[in-house]
Amino acid sequence: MSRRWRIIFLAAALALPAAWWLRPAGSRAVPGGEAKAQPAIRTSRLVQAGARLYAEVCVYCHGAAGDGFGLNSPNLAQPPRDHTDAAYMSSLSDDNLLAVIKFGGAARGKSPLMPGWGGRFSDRELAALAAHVRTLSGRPR
Amino acid sequence: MIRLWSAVSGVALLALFILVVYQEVTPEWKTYQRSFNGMEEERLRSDFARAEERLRRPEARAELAALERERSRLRARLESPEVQRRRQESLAALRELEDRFEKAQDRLEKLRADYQGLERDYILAAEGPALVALRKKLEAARVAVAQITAKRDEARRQADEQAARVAAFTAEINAVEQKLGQVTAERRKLAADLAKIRGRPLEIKQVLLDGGTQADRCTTCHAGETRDLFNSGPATRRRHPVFYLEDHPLERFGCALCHGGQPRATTMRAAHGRVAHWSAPLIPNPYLGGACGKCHRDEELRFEPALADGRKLFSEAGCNACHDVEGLRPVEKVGPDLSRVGDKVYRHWLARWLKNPRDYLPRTRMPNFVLGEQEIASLGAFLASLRAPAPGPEVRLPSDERAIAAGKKIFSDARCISCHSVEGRGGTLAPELSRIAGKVQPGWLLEFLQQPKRHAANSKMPRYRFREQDARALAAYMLNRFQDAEWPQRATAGQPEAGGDPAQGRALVHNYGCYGCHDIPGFEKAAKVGAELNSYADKGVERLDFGTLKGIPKDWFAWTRTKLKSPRVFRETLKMPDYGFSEEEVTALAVFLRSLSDEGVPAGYRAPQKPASTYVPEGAFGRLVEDLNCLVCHSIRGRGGTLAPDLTYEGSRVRREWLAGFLKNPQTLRLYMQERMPKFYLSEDEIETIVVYMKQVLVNGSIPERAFAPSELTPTLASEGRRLYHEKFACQACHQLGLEGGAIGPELTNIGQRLTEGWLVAWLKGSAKLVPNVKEPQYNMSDEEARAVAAFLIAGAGERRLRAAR
Repeated sequence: MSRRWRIIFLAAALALPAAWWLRPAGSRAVPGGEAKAQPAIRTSRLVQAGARLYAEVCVYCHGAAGDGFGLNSPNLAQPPRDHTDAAYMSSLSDDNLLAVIKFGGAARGKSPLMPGWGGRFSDRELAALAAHVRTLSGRPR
Repeated sequence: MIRLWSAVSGVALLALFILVVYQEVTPEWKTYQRSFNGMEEERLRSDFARAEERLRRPEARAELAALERERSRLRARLESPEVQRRRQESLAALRELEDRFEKAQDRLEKLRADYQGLERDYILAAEGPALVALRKKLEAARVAVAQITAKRDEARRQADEQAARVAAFTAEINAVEQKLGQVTAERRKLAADLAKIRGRPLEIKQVLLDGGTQADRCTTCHAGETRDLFNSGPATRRRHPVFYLEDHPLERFGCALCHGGQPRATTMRAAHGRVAHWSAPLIPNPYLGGACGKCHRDEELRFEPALADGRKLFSEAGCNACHDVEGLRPVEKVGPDLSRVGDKVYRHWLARWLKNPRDYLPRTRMPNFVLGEQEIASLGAFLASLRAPAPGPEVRLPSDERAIAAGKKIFSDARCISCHSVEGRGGTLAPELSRIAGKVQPGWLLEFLQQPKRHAANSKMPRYRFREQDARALAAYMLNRFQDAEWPQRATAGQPEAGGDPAQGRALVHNYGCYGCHDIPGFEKAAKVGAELNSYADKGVERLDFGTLKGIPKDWFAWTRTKLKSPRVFRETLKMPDYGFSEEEVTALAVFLRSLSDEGVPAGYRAPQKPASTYVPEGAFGRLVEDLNCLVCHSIRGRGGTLAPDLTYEGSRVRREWLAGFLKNPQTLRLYMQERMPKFYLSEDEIETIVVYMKQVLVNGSIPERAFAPSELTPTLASEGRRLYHEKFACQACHQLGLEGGAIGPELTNIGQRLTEGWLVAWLKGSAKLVPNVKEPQYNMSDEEARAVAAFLIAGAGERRLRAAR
């Protein structure tokens, strides 16, 4: 065997396992397997569920945008709360917000026209509603 | 030279060998687990340092030192010879007393046994002197037992007292030691936890599902999933939202059942399923709801709105007209019956419609088949040939102003816009009417207004009881008022459209599967044209045909989205029409399609499907319900629409007189709603049939018609109810009473004339128990509260009279 062949053989013996070890990370995967082109739906599932519940019962007074100008708002002696008012909403603790939704306005010294939804919704649903209400004033949750 | 090469390559090979072995013995998962343990240790260590820090503060040190001084002082005192001697004496005394107690106890047990023997002999002995002797003996034994019992109790008491005396020697020192323990407890616990982490082995963790046949090893790397340590950071240490785990404990469900992936694998790429031939890669966030649908197949999950939307859209858009999906409730054909479409519409309209239905009516459900000119002409020719066997006489509608004015009044009285829209305003259940004159032929319209089901058995249009001249006036009004500016009726009526081959049209119907959505004569038994979608989510990416399309990721989600958005983009020969779905609709449908999977669902995990309601209204009432299409809007016992109130207990709900009056002339109860109950012009007999059936069959046995004796409706009760109504429950926020209050719930003035007393009380106590998915808040009033509020509402207008009388 000529010397040249011997060198080539040795080089191949070295290169093959090295190539195996250093193989590119993607070669075992389906080409383009990492799905990157997903739509940007980043809203949490809790907020999504809360938005549905809000549309179901809250919008009549608080309005679809949460600004307090719902269909029923002119009929109310005390105007419904504007949930887009970031200054006010940020002064409200999560506990307080949840308590008003669950037990009604009167329970926390607010308008008695706000009913308590604790009998209608489960605690999870109430938490979802609160999470959605938080997003209305632009505070990401 | 050769030797040098051999040496170099030998060393290199050895190094490579060592590297490969090293890589094999330090797998990826160990890195993750070690890193998690490291972070947990770090966290504990910093807590530990903080605890130490607290103990090192002067006041803590002073306290500790004082306690320790106290302890050594007490210990020294306890160990002094004098105290030791006294303690030993005390202990000896205690032992003696315990001894005495033990002896008394032994003696007592022996005496008791003797006594029981004597008692048995006494019971069995015959009358005579022996019996007398036995009685005496028994008496003596009883006295002895009583004496020894007293003695034993005394011994016990003394022993207890002595034990307290013995304990008093060490009481103080024990209290001090306990205090010392409390001060250092936190540090000790943290130290123990730290030791535990250091001793924790690196190991594969797994959950076994389905009797051990499915191993789920995700928590090997995702070590933080169930531990409440980190709420942020990478997914391997973040905690899973508690929310889902509450109902789906990890030990029973594992991770991959919901998240997808290859749960047995222990490298990231393989476990996340991003490897060839693994059909269930990790489900990206927007589609996760699809996994819920694998088990919850017909429940509407509040927290997965996209799944519910997708499932609904799949049926409503008519997807299963072409694609079979097992387990999906069969739905009626979503499009109109075309058996006599040639009599119904003008041929020029057909051509325009087929070109792109959404150009004519943006909110139609009919998709765009992207047909060529020739195809449209042929389909038009075929459809125009679908006519009644014998053409009726030509219809001449009145055209005078008076008839048209009369038609206009009927159009408004019958509340056509509850279901139909005119220029986009009105209901959404039925077609837009504003350009109807350019679409339908007068003869068909007149017949349809009188006999909607003669043309189309599945029509949702109720049969109004119009008189002949009223129907004519209505048709005249509609064709006169709802002209189509682009296709003036006069210019085209009766003109035969040229071109088109009916036979080719027929072939096109067959090819595109039009009969999936429409009833078309001759295609009653034709098979669905689309692929069946059972287990569609389990389709591996190799089985999805990307055709000539380049530039999208080769995965299930991208393919599905693309297919839904532009169905024919992969190949020119594809037949699926263009639905024009929005991004949200595409996502919702993809979520639903993702739920069509059997992958990894162990037996018994699927939530049972509710059986469909089998209720069919009977007899004359049933015929009316069919004729008036009541169940398009109302539901009875789980069957029917959701637009209008559920009628399951209508007989218990409303009073007979009100019901009859309402059917004769419906007045809306919810002012804010666009949809209102139409006026059907029912006959007295028909009204009586409905009222009798409702009052007898659609009732809830636990709700009485009357809830108050006349003497119970007192002004006191009513004024208590008034207080509760306004102050405690603030009903005025949504309901109108008199001229005051909101307009969301039904008006409550004179509610006593509409509702039965029993219903009112039961409703106030919990309306959700009577009607599913009722909107109003649930206050769960007590019986007294409900009765007071009901009394106030029933008294209503009468209350003024009550006050005047006082």
